[in-house]
Amino acid sequence: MLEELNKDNIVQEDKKFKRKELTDRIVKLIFLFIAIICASFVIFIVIFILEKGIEPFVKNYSLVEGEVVQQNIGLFFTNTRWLYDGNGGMGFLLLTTLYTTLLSLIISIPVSIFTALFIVRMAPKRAKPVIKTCVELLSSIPSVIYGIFGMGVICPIIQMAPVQTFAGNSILSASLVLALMSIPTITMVSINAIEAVDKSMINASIALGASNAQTNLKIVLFSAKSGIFAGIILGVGRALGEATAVQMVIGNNANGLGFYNPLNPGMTLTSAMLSGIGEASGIGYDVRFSLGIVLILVILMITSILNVVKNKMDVIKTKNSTSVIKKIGKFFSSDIAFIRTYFNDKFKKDSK
Amino acid sequence: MTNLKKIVNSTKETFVDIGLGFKKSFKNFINFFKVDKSFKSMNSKQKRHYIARKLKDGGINVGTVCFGLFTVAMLIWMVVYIFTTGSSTLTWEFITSDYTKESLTLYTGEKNYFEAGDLTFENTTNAEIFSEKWGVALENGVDNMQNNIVYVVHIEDGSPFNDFVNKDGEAVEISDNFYCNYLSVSKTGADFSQLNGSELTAEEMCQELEQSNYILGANFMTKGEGIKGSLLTTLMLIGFSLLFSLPLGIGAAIYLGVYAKNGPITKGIRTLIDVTSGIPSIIFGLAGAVIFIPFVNSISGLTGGNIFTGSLTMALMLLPTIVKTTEESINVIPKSLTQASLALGASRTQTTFKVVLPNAMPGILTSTLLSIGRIIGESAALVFAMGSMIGNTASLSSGYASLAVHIYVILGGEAPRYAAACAIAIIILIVVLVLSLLVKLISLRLNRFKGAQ
Repeated sequence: MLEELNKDNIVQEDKKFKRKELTDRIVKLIFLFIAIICASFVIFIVIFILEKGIEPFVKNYSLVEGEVVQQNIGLFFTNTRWLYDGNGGMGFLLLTTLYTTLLSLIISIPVSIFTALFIVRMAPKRAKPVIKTCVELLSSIPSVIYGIFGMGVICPIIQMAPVQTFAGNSILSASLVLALMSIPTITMVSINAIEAVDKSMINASIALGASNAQTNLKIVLFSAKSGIFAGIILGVGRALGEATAVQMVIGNNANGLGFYNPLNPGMTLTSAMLSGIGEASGIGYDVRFSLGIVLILVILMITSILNVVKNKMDVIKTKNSTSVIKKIGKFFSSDIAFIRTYFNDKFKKDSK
Repeated sequence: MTNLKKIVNSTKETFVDIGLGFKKSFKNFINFFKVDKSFKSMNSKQKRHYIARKLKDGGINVGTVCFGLFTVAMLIWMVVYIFTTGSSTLTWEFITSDYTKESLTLYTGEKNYFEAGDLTFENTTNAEIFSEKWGVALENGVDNMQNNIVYVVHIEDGSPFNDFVNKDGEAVEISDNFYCNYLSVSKTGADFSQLNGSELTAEEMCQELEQSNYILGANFMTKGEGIKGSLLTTLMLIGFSLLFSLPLGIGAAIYLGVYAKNGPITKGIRTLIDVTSGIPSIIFGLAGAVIFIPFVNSISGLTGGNIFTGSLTMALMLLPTIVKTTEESINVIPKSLTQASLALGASRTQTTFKVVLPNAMPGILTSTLLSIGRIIGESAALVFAMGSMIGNTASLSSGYASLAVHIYVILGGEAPRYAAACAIAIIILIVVLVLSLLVKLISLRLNRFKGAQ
């Protein structure tokens, strides 16, 4: 009697346990499914934009009745004007994008590194969190507001220049706005990097007789350089992809020959995508997706190049990095070493 | 009470500390000009070296301080500029009124004119500007673009102003939110003049009215330029985006934080989510336009962008933030908690839903707040995925502009309207700043687990 009851109990327990495990597995699978969906979105994004971006080169559009146009592939790379009727050239858009980003980096890198240094090493103890919070708040302000500030404050300042400008709308004002936007990003990452520097290293430097300024510049910044570089990569990504603020201040000049002068109005990839979107249709709408492909490629290329550089900087990470990157690094380093020795020899001979 | 005292004390201490800090910096500044005691015993080469080093250090220090203060000054400048430009426009009326102006053209019926009678009206209100001949009280006002306008605040009984009809001959009542755009009047019946509310003040208009004997027609308008539609659209967008993104994001975070083992699949998922967070917002906009607009339209039969396409796009954008923040808060939960739950006989599922999720609440809350901040500020993606037409109300079926897109649109035209843009920017700024301060507070609370581990 008792044995039977026990048996029953065991069978029931076993069933219960099995059911529990079944639900556990199903729940786990559901969560895995959700995670895979979340991760696969980026693949869908790229595939769909690629498909739509190739369309202007292949499909026939009718702008005027009876006339059929396609995006001209040759002109897409060589034309110096950006047009939405199939003859536009994106070459100068690309150059302007890179140029604007470079100008903004020239301003934002020193400012943000020294701001981080100031916050971590020099600010009064209680003022430190206040300034840090200020920078955090600055990084959470949306880009439209930077755009208002650019239009309302920076453009009038640029307009005061003795040279004639397009109401202050210029590549320079765009890069100033971009610099303002990327300063908080770079600063926040740099603060973390500088705070992580080993205290003993700083103390050793001071014990050896270096002044505070020397320690800051030569020990702290040098040890934190990899972390700071990570911040710069983030800043570059933000500057390359920024659309609204840039479109508001850059002037949207479709003729690209004057892009070398920072006081000229210009047009970047993102601002070309955004300008006149309300009335766009047909090829004028679809060609923006081709620009999107170019933008994705540029961002991918630049960030991966910068990441390779960063991995080379960070000795510990190079050891763990994948072999492909290592090989590429070795390939370049041996070449560069060869070139360096070649020029060194030549220089020695000349000096003799 | 004690809390208040604590806050007051800590603020006081902060200020005293900052003061001391500046005193210290000032001392350092003074020390810069003092020379070392051993300076006299140095030879000339040492002296030169000493001075050069001191100058160099001083320069570096001053430069660092300048850069630090520059960043803070930039923030202050931006906030001050936006508040000074926009604060006078930001009124309750600005928030609650429509964007498009409603026009009301009034006719004078069969006779085609109103003639002033011999009798004069008596002012029964306390309005200062009153036309005795026509029996109307006028008042000066300002519209949402800071232009001067004239209101008709009161119409006496028996005044011809009560007899206005619309195009079809039906009687019309002028409600309070209409201002007087123009009045067509005539002095003798043969001449004709138009009294424009935007050109004349209420006093001048009253004088003109007193001098004229006939009224031929009128046009009344609402203020317009309001942000009611954009505000409602933004609120709806926030709701739907969170509805779409939170379940997905939290689910993925639970998988990565609780179930995932180190392997190629986990690594791939992590890498792809990282890549998603690096994509610029305009690319998300393109993706929304090419994926979600056809998808939603094929289901619902709508055309163009609408709230759903916009919020699905925003959900895509928010996923990486939500996954990362939630996973971080799951990782911070002490292992002993989950192990205790499992040891007591709870299944993994029960542990996940009853131990892990409640304890990850601060992280979920943080990610929600971060997401709200991002949705409010997003413009480029929504221009593509939802639309840039400014609406008077929000509706599920049409893609009207959100607040940030509203700013972008009104600054994009021939005559940028800075005051209105800055007024909207004040709303966005306050929301975003309050949210990020809240996130900071929550993250302090989240840290309580760190000691336990």
